[in-house]
Amino acid sequence: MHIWHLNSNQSLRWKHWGDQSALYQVASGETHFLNPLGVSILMQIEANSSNLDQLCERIATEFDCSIDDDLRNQITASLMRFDELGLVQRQRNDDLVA
Amino acid sequence: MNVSDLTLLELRQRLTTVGLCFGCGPFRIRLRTPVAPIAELLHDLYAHYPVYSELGIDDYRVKLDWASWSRRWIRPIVRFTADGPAPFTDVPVLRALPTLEWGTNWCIATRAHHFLMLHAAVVERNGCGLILPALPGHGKSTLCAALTHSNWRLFSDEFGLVRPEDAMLIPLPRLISLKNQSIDVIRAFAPSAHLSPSFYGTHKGTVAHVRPPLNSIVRMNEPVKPSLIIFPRWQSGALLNLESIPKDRAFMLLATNAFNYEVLGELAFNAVAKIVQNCDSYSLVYSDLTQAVQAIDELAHNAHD
Amino acid sequence: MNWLTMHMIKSPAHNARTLLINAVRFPETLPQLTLTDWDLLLRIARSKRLLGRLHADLSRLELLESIPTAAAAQLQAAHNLVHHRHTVLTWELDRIIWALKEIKVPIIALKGTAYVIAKLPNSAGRFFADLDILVPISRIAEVEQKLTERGWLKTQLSPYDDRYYRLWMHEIPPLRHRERESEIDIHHALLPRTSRYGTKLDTMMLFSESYLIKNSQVRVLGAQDMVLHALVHLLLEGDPNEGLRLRDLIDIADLLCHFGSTPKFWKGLLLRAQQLQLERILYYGLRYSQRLLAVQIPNSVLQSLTQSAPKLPIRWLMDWLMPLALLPEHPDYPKQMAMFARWLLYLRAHWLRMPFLLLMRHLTYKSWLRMRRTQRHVEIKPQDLQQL
Repeated sequence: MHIWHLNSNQSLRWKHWGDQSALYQVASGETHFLNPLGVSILMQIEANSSNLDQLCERIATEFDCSIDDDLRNQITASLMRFDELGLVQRQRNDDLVA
Repeated sequence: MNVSDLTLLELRQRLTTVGLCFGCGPFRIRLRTPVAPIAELLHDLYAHYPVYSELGIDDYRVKLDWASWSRRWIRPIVRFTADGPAPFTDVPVLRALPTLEWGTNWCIATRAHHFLMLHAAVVERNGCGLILPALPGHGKSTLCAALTHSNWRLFSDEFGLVRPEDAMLIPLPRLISLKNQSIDVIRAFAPSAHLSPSFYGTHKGTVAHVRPPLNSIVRMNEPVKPSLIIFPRWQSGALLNLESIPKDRAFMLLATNAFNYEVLGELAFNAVAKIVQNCDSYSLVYSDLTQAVQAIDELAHNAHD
Repeated sequence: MNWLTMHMIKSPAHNARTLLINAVRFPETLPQLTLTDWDLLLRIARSKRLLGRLHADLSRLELLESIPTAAAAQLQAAHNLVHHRHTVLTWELDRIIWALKEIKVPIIALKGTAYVIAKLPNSAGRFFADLDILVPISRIAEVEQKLTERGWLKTQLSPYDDRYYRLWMHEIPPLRHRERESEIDIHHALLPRTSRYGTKLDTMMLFSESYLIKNSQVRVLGAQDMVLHALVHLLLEGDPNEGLRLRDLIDIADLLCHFGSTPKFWKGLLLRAQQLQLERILYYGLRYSQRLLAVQIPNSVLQSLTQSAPKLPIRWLMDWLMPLALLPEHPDYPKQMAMFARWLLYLRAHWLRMPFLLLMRHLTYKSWLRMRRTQRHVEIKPQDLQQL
């Protein structure tokens, strides 16, 4: 399973208002507007590199919901998008060992 | 010395030689033109701007020239330049003034990246800085002109100039540009408003310019802290409707509607965040200008308390 | 003093040139300028896109507070814009690496982006428009394919232009990511296939001399190749309006000063120019870096290049054309002659890149397009606001 971590040397600047947030990505100069799920995923990864299972678990606890396919799919889709935006990157477990 | 202290002859002489060097907000603009008919208009509409005679550094050097000598007498056309190749198509001399205003705005928008330039009108009253961002056609200039003639001080009808270091609003009291039916609306709302003649057939339709009141030019070096953001939208026959806008949405609307948000990067991110933090934001749908001004006055009064 | 030199010294063009060249060479003297000098200098530096450079120099010397506020404001605006361009272009490069990760293709960053990621002195304050990269020609189809799968779009070209690019050029038509503004030029060689110079230039030789940037998967050209490519860019890739770009010559001067302190550099440069058949280009580059920007070049190097000099009348002609086309004019007194010089050198650059018949076809097609082009109507859009 892949480990997701913040793209190397990323500096992120956050502004939060209630449950909505804006994020400034220093490396790209882009501002991203995120929903609560997006914020939570990214902040989890910012704190600790994690695999999908770990993320699902933490997010489920945070939002007080059950881990089902729907949640997994939503998190996976967010991760893919974050990967494209260069916010996060994935690494195979064995890459890390090597 | 202001432009009105020059005689028309003196103004013409400057325009055709060294240029009319005048101050508008933080900028020093030098305008040269041999196009005689425009001098009279400028004498009237630029009357309150201070004339700079001392040596200094010009921020913008703009020029309006005859575009073609062969067409000097028959349907003459003029060309706008700013120390470089002409950025726009030549226009008939009858539309010289709107082109000059538009061209100068273009210079500011393409170069003044030491400021964050919101695409918004800005006015001030009793220390309350009000930002009116809007898409074209939403009636921001009309509302701005109305407020300017209802005891508000004009900062700008087009550029919400923000100093990125401290997110203060900087005045840039250029002529207010009114389009189509707004022209008569403002004539009716504020008989004291000083309007230019109407210019027909510009790429924005009929255009007329409002001269900034003397007070807004005298005080053009006094910035203000932003306190209120209102997103106005004029809608025929609509009842006045004022709704609060959450801060994240206000942030997004301000940032995506700015001229150079991307260019300023993190500076802009922090400045916009600071603005929405300090401001209450509303959307305002209106059809009656008097009601709209009244509603805004009340909001400003409460915001300041 | 004879009449000619009297005339030269008093001419506004001379004044403008001296002002700008001195500002670039001796930025520490900028605080001594009068307001009138500043006014003129800012206008010229803007037209040559060197405002960012002045800001970078003054910032390094901690002199930004010692110049007039109005000048500092204009320089700050330029700095903000340049900083933004650097961010955008290095980020675009980062995303390209991301998109091409799986196909493991070596990538060399060229020109501006290379200077920025290699932290070379000329990158400070330098304005860059596009991103240029070099990949081996055998991999180019694969690279284009992968990028289009990952969100980059091909430029919509007329069949003529597309064919022109793919048949004759050293790059493929530019790509642009669907969510971003920057254009990327993907090269497979440094010169068009039709070029008169540098036909021996095998791209794989460039890869073997290139080196990886620390903590990155991008390579940049070796020192000698980088200088030679900058020369090719200056002398063979003109623009008819702007002519030869002074900022490109300044790049070369900076690179020569930077690499030139390594003793082996110069010998290597001569050798490489010979291998790549770029001796004439090197001759011109060194000659005008020395003449116009007073770059120190070892005598032995200049001497060994004399055999690559053109014949005398051509040399005289070039000595007259090059300063005219490269150096700034006084904005209030533009010279027809300078425009003519730029146009001649533009034609020359094209001439050297293409055989005569092809050139005729290309130029006539282009001028027909220009004539046919409808009048512009300009609206201010955020993407237009980066002219400065």
